[in-house]
Amino acid sequence: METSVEQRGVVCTVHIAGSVDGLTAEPLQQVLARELDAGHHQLVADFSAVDYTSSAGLRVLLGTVKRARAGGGDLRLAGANPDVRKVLDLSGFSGILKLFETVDDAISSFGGTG
Amino acid sequence: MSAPQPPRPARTVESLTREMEVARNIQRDFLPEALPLAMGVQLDAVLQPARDVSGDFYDAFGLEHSSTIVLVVGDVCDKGFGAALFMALFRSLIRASADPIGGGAIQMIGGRRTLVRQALESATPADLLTRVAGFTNDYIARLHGRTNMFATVFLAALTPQTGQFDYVNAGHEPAIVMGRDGRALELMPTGPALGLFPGATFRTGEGTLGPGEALVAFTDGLVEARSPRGEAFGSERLFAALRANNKSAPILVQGVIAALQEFTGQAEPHDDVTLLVARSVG
Repeated sequence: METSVEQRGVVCTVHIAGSVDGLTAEPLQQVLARELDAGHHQLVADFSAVDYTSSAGLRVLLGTVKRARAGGGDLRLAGANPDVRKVLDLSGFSGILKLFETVDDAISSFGGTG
Repeated sequence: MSAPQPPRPARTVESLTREMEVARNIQRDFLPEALPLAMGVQLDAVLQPARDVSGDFYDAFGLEHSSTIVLVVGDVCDKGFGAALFMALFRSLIRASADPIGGGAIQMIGGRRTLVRQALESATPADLLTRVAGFTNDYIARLHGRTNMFATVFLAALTPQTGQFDYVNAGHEPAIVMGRDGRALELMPTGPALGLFPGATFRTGEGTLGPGEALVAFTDGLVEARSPRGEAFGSERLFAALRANNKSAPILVQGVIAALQEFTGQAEPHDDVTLLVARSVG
Protein backbone atom coordinates (compact mmCIF):
# COMPACT_ATOMS: atom_id res chain seq x y z
CA MET A 1 0.00 0.00 0.00
CA GLU A 2 1.16 3.52 -0.82
CA THR A 3 -0.22 6.87 0.22
CA SER A 4 0.19 10.47 -0.86
CA VAL A 5 -1.33 13.59 0.64
CA GLU A 6 -2.77 16.51 -1.29
CA GLN A 7 -4.06 19.72 0.27
CA ARG A 8 -6.67 21.68 -1.70
CA GLY A 9 -7.96 24.69 0.24
CA VAL A 10 -8.81 23.41 3.69
CA VAL A 11 -9.58 19.92 2.43
CA CYS A 12 -6.86 17.34 2.80
CA THR A 13 -7.03 14.33 0.47
CA VAL A 14 -5.15 11.13 1.26
CA HIS A 15 -4.71 9.06 -1.91
CA ILE A 16 -4.37 5.37 -1.08
CA ALA A 17 -3.20 2.66 -3.48
CA GLY A 18 -3.12 -1.10 -2.87
CA SER A 19 -4.66 -3.26 -0.15
CA VAL A 20 -5.63 -2.02 3.29
CA ASP A 21 -5.23 -5.05 5.52
CA GLY A 22 -3.81 -6.16 8.86
CA LEU A 23 -0.29 -5.22 7.75
CA THR A 24 -0.97 -1.88 6.06
CA ALA A 25 -3.69 -0.52 8.33
CA GLU A 26 -1.19 0.80 10.87
CA PRO A 27 0.86 2.88 8.37
CA LEU A 28 -2.40 4.27 6.95
CA GLN A 29 -3.59 5.13 10.44
CA GLN A 30 -0.34 7.04 11.04
CA VAL A 31 -0.73 9.07 7.83
CA LEU A 32 -4.30 10.05 8.72
CA ALA A 33 -3.39 10.77 12.37
CA ARG A 34 -0.58 13.09 11.22
CA GLU A 35 -3.09 15.18 9.24
CA LEU A 36 -5.51 15.29 12.16
CA ASP A 37 -2.65 16.28 14.50
CA ALA A 38 -1.86 19.12 12.08
CA GLY A 39 -5.44 20.38 12.47
CA HIS A 40 -6.69 19.07 9.12
CA HIS A 41 -10.14 17.86 10.06
CA GLN A 42 -11.72 18.00 6.61
CA LEU A 43 -10.40 14.80 5.11
CA VAL A 44 -11.05 12.84 1.95
CA ALA A 45 -9.81 9.27 1.67
CA ASP A 46 -9.30 8.53 -2.02
CA PHE A 47 -10.07 4.82 -2.39
CA SER A 48 -10.08 4.73 -6.20
CA ALA A 49 -6.83 2.71 -6.25
CA VAL A 50 -7.70 0.50 -3.25
CA ASP A 51 -8.42 -3.07 -4.36
CA TYR A 52 -9.28 -4.55 -0.96
CA THR A 53 -9.92 -3.49 2.62
CA SER A 54 -10.12 -5.80 5.60
CA SER A 55 -11.82 -5.04 8.90
CA ALA A 56 -8.48 -3.63 10.09
CA GLY A 57 -8.87 -0.95 7.40
CA LEU A 58 -12.44 -0.23 8.49
CA ARG A 59 -11.17 0.23 12.04
CA VAL A 60 -8.78 2.93 10.81
CA LEU A 61 -11.66 4.69 9.03
CA LEU A 62 -13.78 4.52 12.20
CA GLY A 63 -11.06 6.05 14.37
CA THR A 64 -10.37 8.76 11.80
CA VAL A 65 -13.99 9.79 11.25
CA LYS A 66 -14.54 10.04 15.01
CA ARG A 67 -11.53 12.33 15.45
CA ALA A 68 -12.37 14.41 12.36
CA ARG A 69 -15.94 14.99 13.54
CA ALA A 70 -14.82 15.76 17.08
CA GLY A 71 -12.64 18.47 15.50
CA GLY A 72 -15.60 19.93 13.62
CA GLY A 73 -14.76 18.26 10.30
CA ASP A 74 -15.44 14.96 8.62
CA LEU A 75 -13.83 12.06 6.79
CA ARG A 76 -15.39 11.38 3.38
CA LEU A 77 -14.65 8.52 1.04
CA ALA A 78 -14.18 8.72 -2.71
CA GLY A 79 -14.04 6.17 -5.51
CA ALA A 80 -14.53 2.88 -3.65
CA ASN A 81 -14.66 -0.03 -6.14
CA PRO A 82 -17.62 -2.47 -6.05
CA ASP A 83 -15.76 -5.02 -3.85
CA VAL A 84 -14.81 -2.39 -1.27
CA ARG A 85 -18.30 -0.87 -1.55
CA LYS A 86 -19.79 -4.28 -0.71
CA VAL A 87 -17.66 -4.49 2.47
CA LEU A 88 -18.74 -0.95 3.44
CA ASP A 89 -22.42 -1.77 2.78
CA LEU A 90 -22.47 -5.09 4.67
CA SER A 91 -20.70 -3.76 7.76
CA GLY A 92 -22.86 -0.63 7.95
CA PHE A 93 -19.99 1.78 7.25
CA SER A 94 -21.81 3.26 4.25
CA GLY A 95 -24.44 4.46 6.73
CA ILE A 96 -21.75 6.26 8.74
CA LEU A 97 -19.38 7.63 6.11
CA LYS A 98 -20.40 9.88 3.24
CA LEU A 99 -19.36 8.16 0.01
CA PHE A 100 -18.65 9.91 -3.32
CA GLU A 101 -17.89 8.73 -6.85
CA THR A 102 -14.90 11.01 -7.30
CA VAL A 103 -12.38 12.93 -5.21
CA ASP A 104 -13.65 16.20 -6.76
CA ASP A 105 -17.22 15.41 -5.62
CA ALA A 106 -15.95 14.60 -2.12
CA ILE A 107 -13.88 17.79 -1.89
CA SER A 108 -16.65 20.05 -3.15
CA SER A 109 -19.10 18.41 -0.69
CA PHE A 110 -17.26 20.30 2.04
CA GLY A 111 -18.70 23.42 0.37
CA GLY A 112 -16.84 26.32 -1.19
CA THR A 113 -13.61 25.56 0.57
CA GLY A 114 -11.75 23.88 -2.31
CA MET B 1 17.32 9.72 41.50
CA SER B 2 16.95 6.00 41.66
CA ALA B 3 19.78 3.71 40.71
CA PRO B 4 19.74 2.63 37.08
CA GLN B 5 17.94 -0.64 36.66
CA PRO B 6 19.77 -3.54 35.07
CA PRO B 7 18.37 -4.25 31.61
CA ARG B 8 15.54 -6.75 31.65
CA PRO B 9 16.55 -10.04 30.11
CA ALA B 10 15.07 -10.54 26.67
CA ARG B 11 12.05 -12.79 26.86
CA THR B 12 12.81 -16.15 25.49
CA VAL B 13 10.90 -17.69 22.64
CA GLU B 14 9.97 -20.48 25.05
CA SER B 15 8.33 -18.13 27.53
CA LEU B 16 6.36 -16.40 24.79
CA THR B 17 5.29 -19.73 23.37
CA ARG B 18 4.15 -20.78 26.84
CA GLU B 19 2.11 -17.59 27.30
CA MET B 20 0.56 -18.06 23.89
CA GLU B 21 -0.44 -21.58 24.85
CA VAL B 22 -2.04 -20.30 28.07
CA ALA B 23 -3.94 -17.60 26.13
CA ARG B 24 -5.13 -20.16 23.60
CA ASN B 25 -6.43 -22.45 26.33
CA ILE B 26 -8.18 -19.61 28.15
CA GLN B 27 -9.76 -18.45 24.92
CA ARG B 28 -11.11 -21.93 24.26
CA ASP B 29 -13.13 -21.46 27.47
CA PHE B 30 -15.01 -18.60 25.79
CA LEU B 31 -16.47 -21.03 23.28
CA PRO B 32 -19.24 -23.40 24.37
CA GLU B 33 -17.97 -26.67 25.77
CA ALA B 34 -20.91 -28.46 24.19
CA LEU B 35 -23.74 -27.34 21.95
CA PRO B 36 -27.27 -27.59 23.35
CA LEU B 37 -29.33 -30.65 22.53
CA ALA B 38 -32.92 -30.05 21.48
CA MET B 39 -35.65 -32.13 19.89
CA GLY B 40 -36.13 -31.15 16.25
CA VAL B 41 -32.83 -29.46 15.53
CA GLN B 42 -29.23 -30.63 15.29
CA LEU B 43 -26.32 -28.23 15.85
CA ASP B 44 -22.66 -28.37 14.95
CA ALA B 45 -19.86 -25.81 14.70
CA VAL B 46 -16.18 -25.37 14.02
CA LEU B 47 -13.67 -22.55 14.60
CA GLN B 48 -10.25 -22.68 12.94
CA PRO B 49 -7.98 -19.83 14.09
CA ALA B 50 -5.49 -18.49 11.55
CA ARG B 51 -3.06 -17.69 14.36
CA ASP B 52 -2.64 -18.75 17.98
CA VAL B 53 -5.63 -16.77 19.15
CA SER B 54 -8.75 -15.77 17.31
CA GLY B 55 -11.08 -12.80 16.89
CA ASP B 56 -13.89 -15.08 15.72
CA PHE B 57 -16.39 -16.63 18.09
CA TYR B 58 -19.57 -18.66 18.10
CA ASP B 59 -22.05 -19.56 20.78
CA ALA B 60 -25.25 -21.54 21.21
CA PHE B 61 -27.30 -21.71 24.39
CA GLY B 62 -30.79 -22.29 25.68
CA LEU B 63 -32.66 -19.71 27.77
CA GLU B 64 -33.85 -20.54 31.26
CA HIS B 65 -37.38 -19.23 30.72
CA SER B 66 -38.20 -20.61 27.26
CA SER B 67 -37.40 -23.32 24.72
CA THR B 68 -35.62 -20.80 22.50
CA ILE B 69 -32.02 -21.50 21.48
CA VAL B 70 -29.82 -18.49 20.81
CA LEU B 71 -27.21 -18.90 18.07
CA VAL B 72 -24.30 -16.49 17.65
CA VAL B 73 -21.45 -16.12 15.15
CA GLY B 74 -19.16 -13.11 15.46
CA ASP B 75 -16.02 -11.67 13.94
CA VAL B 76 -14.09 -8.97 15.81
CA CYS B 77 -12.27 -6.49 13.58
CA ASP B 78 -8.57 -7.00 12.90
CA LYS B 79 -6.64 -10.03 14.20
CA GLY B 80 -4.32 -11.22 16.93
CA PHE B 81 -4.37 -10.52 20.66
CA GLY B 82 -6.39 -7.28 20.48
CA ALA B 83 -9.16 -9.04 18.60
CA ALA B 84 -8.94 -11.99 21.02
CA LEU B 85 -9.47 -9.74 24.08
CA PHE B 86 -12.55 -8.21 22.48
CA MET B 87 -13.84 -11.60 21.39
CA ALA B 88 -14.08 -12.53 25.08
CA LEU B 89 -15.88 -9.27 25.85
CA PHE B 90 -18.39 -9.44 22.96
CA ARG B 91 -19.20 -13.06 23.66
CA SER B 92 -19.78 -12.40 27.37
CA LEU B 93 -21.89 -9.28 26.81
CA ILE B 94 -24.10 -11.13 24.33
CA ARG B 95 -24.59 -14.16 26.54
CA ALA B 96 -25.15 -12.22 29.77
CA SER B 97 -27.62 -9.80 28.17
CA ALA B 98 -29.46 -12.58 26.33
CA ASP B 99 -30.05 -14.54 29.49
CA PRO B 100 -29.68 -12.26 32.51
CA ILE B 101 -31.68 -14.70 34.66
CA GLY B 102 -29.69 -17.81 33.79
CA GLY B 103 -26.50 -15.77 33.70
CA GLY B 104 -27.17 -14.35 37.17
CA ALA B 105 -27.11 -10.69 36.14
CA ILE B 106 -30.59 -10.13 37.54
CA GLN B 107 -29.77 -11.25 41.09
CA MET B 108 -28.38 -7.84 42.02
CA ILE B 109 -31.63 -6.08 41.26
CA GLY B 110 -33.06 -7.57 44.46
CA GLY B 111 -36.61 -6.48 45.23
CA ARG B 112 -37.46 -5.71 41.64
CA ARG B 113 -36.38 -9.11 40.46
CA THR B 114 -39.89 -10.49 40.00
CA LEU B 115 -41.00 -7.58 37.85
CA VAL B 116 -37.86 -7.79 35.72
CA ARG B 117 -38.26 -11.54 35.39
CA GLN B 118 -41.86 -11.15 34.23
CA ALA B 119 -40.83 -8.53 31.70
CA LEU B 120 -38.08 -10.77 30.32
CA GLU B 121 -40.28 -13.82 30.18
CA SER B 122 -42.96 -12.01 28.20
CA ALA B 123 -40.47 -10.56 25.71
CA THR B 124 -40.62 -12.02 22.20
CA PRO B 125 -37.47 -13.53 20.63
CA ALA B 126 -37.32 -10.50 18.32
CA ASP B 127 -37.39 -8.14 21.36
CA LEU B 128 -34.65 -10.21 22.94
CA LEU B 129 -32.36 -9.96 19.90
CA THR B 130 -32.80 -6.21 19.42
CA ARG B 131 -32.14 -5.69 23.14
CA VAL B 132 -28.98 -7.83 23.06
CA ALA B 133 -27.66 -6.12 19.92
CA GLY B 134 -28.47 -2.62 21.21
CA PHE B 135 -26.98 -3.25 24.65
CA THR B 136 -23.77 -4.82 23.31
CA ASN B 137 -23.37 -2.08 20.70
CA ASP B 138 -23.82 0.74 23.20
CA TYR B 139 -21.58 -0.86 25.82
CA ILE B 140 -18.65 -1.24 23.39
CA ALA B 141 -19.17 2.12 21.69
CA ARG B 142 -19.47 4.03 25.00
CA LEU B 143 -16.95 2.26 27.23
CA HIS B 144 -14.39 1.21 24.63
CA GLY B 145 -14.91 3.85 21.95
CA ARG B 146 -11.29 4.94 22.15
CA THR B 147 -10.10 1.58 20.85
CA ASN B 148 -12.37 1.75 17.76
CA MET B 149 -12.97 -1.97 18.06
CA PHE B 150 -16.15 -3.45 16.62
CA ALA B 151 -17.55 -6.84 15.67
CA THR B 152 -19.86 -8.09 12.97
CA VAL B 153 -22.31 -10.51 14.55
CA PHE B 154 -25.11 -12.78 13.37
CA LEU B 155 -27.64 -13.57 16.14
CA ALA B 156 -30.61 -15.89 15.85
CA ALA B 157 -33.28 -17.09 18.28
CA LEU B 158 -34.58 -20.45 17.12
CA THR B 159 -37.56 -22.45 18.39
CA PRO B 160 -36.45 -26.04 17.75
CA GLN B 161 -39.95 -27.57 17.82
CA THR B 162 -41.28 -25.35 15.02
CA GLY B 163 -38.11 -24.39 13.17
CA GLN B 164 -39.13 -20.73 13.39
CA PHE B 165 -36.40 -18.23 14.01
CA ASP B 166 -35.81 -14.52 14.33
CA TYR B 167 -32.45 -12.97 13.58
CA VAL B 168 -30.38 -9.81 13.76
CA ASN B 169 -27.55 -9.52 11.28
CA ALA B 170 -25.26 -6.79 12.67
CA GLY B 171 -23.04 -5.96 9.71
CA HIS B 172 -22.11 -9.61 9.25
CA GLU B 173 -21.59 -11.86 6.26
CA PRO B 174 -25.11 -13.00 5.23
CA ALA B 175 -26.09 -16.27 6.90
CA ILE B 176 -27.68 -18.86 4.62
CA VAL B 177 -30.82 -20.93 4.80
CA MET B 178 -30.12 -24.01 2.67
CA GLY B 179 -33.46 -25.33 1.40
CA ARG B 180 -34.27 -28.95 0.55
CA ASP B 181 -34.40 -27.96 -3.13
CA GLY B 182 -30.79 -26.75 -2.90
CA ARG B 183 -31.73 -23.11 -3.05
CA ALA B 184 -29.71 -20.82 -0.77
CA LEU B 185 -31.49 -17.88 0.85
CA GLU B 186 -29.16 -15.16 2.16
CA LEU B 187 -30.02 -13.31 5.38
CA MET B 188 -28.71 -9.80 4.72
CA PRO B 189 -27.68 -7.26 7.42
CA THR B 190 -30.45 -5.72 9.51
CA GLY B 191 -28.17 -3.21 11.22
CA PRO B 192 -24.54 -2.07 11.43
CA ALA B 193 -21.62 -3.90 13.05
CA LEU B 194 -21.71 -3.76 16.88
CA GLY B 195 -19.66 -1.04 18.58
CA LEU B 196 -19.38 1.61 15.84
CA PHE B 197 -21.48 4.38 17.42
CA PRO B 198 -23.86 4.45 20.40
CA GLY B 199 -27.58 4.48 19.68
CA ALA B 200 -27.54 2.29 16.57
CA THR B 201 -30.83 0.50 15.92
CA PHE B 202 -31.32 -3.06 14.75
CA ARG B 203 -34.26 -4.52 12.85
CA THR B 204 -35.05 -8.21 13.02
CA GLY B 205 -35.76 -10.66 10.26
CA GLU B 206 -37.51 -14.01 10.52
CA GLY B 207 -37.59 -17.35 8.81
CA THR B 208 -38.54 -21.00 9.24
CA LEU B 209 -36.48 -24.15 8.86
CA GLY B 210 -38.54 -26.95 7.34
CA PRO B 211 -37.43 -30.56 7.83
CA GLY B 212 -34.01 -31.08 6.23
CA GLU B 213 -33.32 -27.35 5.96
CA ALA B 214 -30.26 -25.77 7.54
CA LEU B 215 -29.37 -22.35 8.91
CA VAL B 216 -25.68 -21.75 8.22
CA ALA B 217 -23.82 -18.82 9.79
CA PHE B 218 -20.13 -18.24 9.15
CA THR B 219 -17.37 -15.63 9.12
CA ASP B 220 -15.79 -14.00 6.07
CA GLY B 221 -12.60 -16.03 6.60
CA LEU B 222 -14.51 -18.90 4.98
CA VAL B 223 -15.60 -17.22 1.72
CA GLU B 224 -12.45 -15.07 1.49
CA ALA B 225 -10.02 -17.99 2.00
CA ARG B 226 -7.54 -18.11 -0.88
CA SER B 227 -6.25 -20.91 -3.08
CA PRO B 228 -2.48 -21.09 -3.71
CA ARG B 229 -3.23 -19.14 -6.95
CA GLY B 230 -4.88 -16.35 -4.94
CA GLU B 231 -8.48 -17.07 -5.90
CA ALA B 232 -11.19 -16.66 -3.21
CA PHE B 233 -13.30 -19.67 -2.05
CA GLY B 234 -16.45 -17.56 -2.58
CA SER B 235 -20.18 -18.06 -2.03
CA GLU B 236 -20.81 -20.40 -4.99
CA ARG B 237 -18.31 -23.00 -3.76
CA LEU B 238 -19.83 -22.71 -0.27
CA PHE B 239 -23.37 -23.23 -1.67
CA ALA B 240 -22.18 -26.24 -3.68
CA ALA B 241 -20.54 -27.81 -0.60
CA LEU B 242 -23.72 -27.22 1.43
CA ARG B 243 -25.93 -28.76 -1.28
CA ALA B 244 -23.70 -31.82 -1.55
CA ASN B 245 -23.59 -32.41 2.21
CA ASN B 246 -27.07 -31.53 3.49
CA LYS B 247 -27.53 -34.80 5.35
CA SER B 248 -26.86 -33.80 8.96
CA ALA B 249 -25.29 -30.88 10.82
CA PRO B 250 -21.90 -32.64 11.36
CA ILE B 251 -21.79 -33.79 7.72
CA LEU B 252 -22.49 -30.21 6.58
CA VAL B 253 -19.68 -28.82 8.75
CA GLN B 254 -17.22 -31.56 7.72
CA GLY B 255 -18.20 -31.27 4.06
CA VAL B 256 -17.64 -27.51 3.94
CA ILE B 257 -14.31 -27.74 5.77
CA ALA B 258 -13.15 -30.57 3.46
CA ALA B 259 -14.08 -28.50 0.38
CA LEU B 260 -12.26 -25.50 1.87
CA GLN B 261 -9.13 -27.54 2.61
CA GLU B 262 -9.10 -29.02 -0.87
CA PHE B 263 -9.39 -25.50 -2.32
CA THR B 264 -6.77 -23.79 -0.16
CA GLY B 265 -4.27 -26.69 -0.19
CA GLN B 266 -1.06 -25.66 1.50
CA ALA B 267 -1.81 -21.92 1.32
CA GLU B 268 -1.25 -20.09 4.63
CA PRO B 269 -4.65 -19.21 6.21
CA HIS B 270 -5.02 -15.42 6.32
CA ASP B 271 -8.09 -15.27 8.55
CA ASP B 272 -10.00 -17.27 11.16
CA VAL B 273 -12.73 -19.53 9.80
CA THR B 274 -15.93 -20.16 11.77
CA LEU B 275 -19.01 -22.09 10.74
CA LEU B 276 -22.17 -22.84 12.75
CA VAL B 277 -24.97 -25.04 11.42
CA ALA B 278 -28.47 -25.60 12.82
CA ARG B 279 -30.34 -28.25 10.80
CA SER B 280 -33.97 -29.13 11.30
CA VAL B 281 -34.53 -32.85 11.55
CA GLY B 282 -38.33 -32.48 11.38
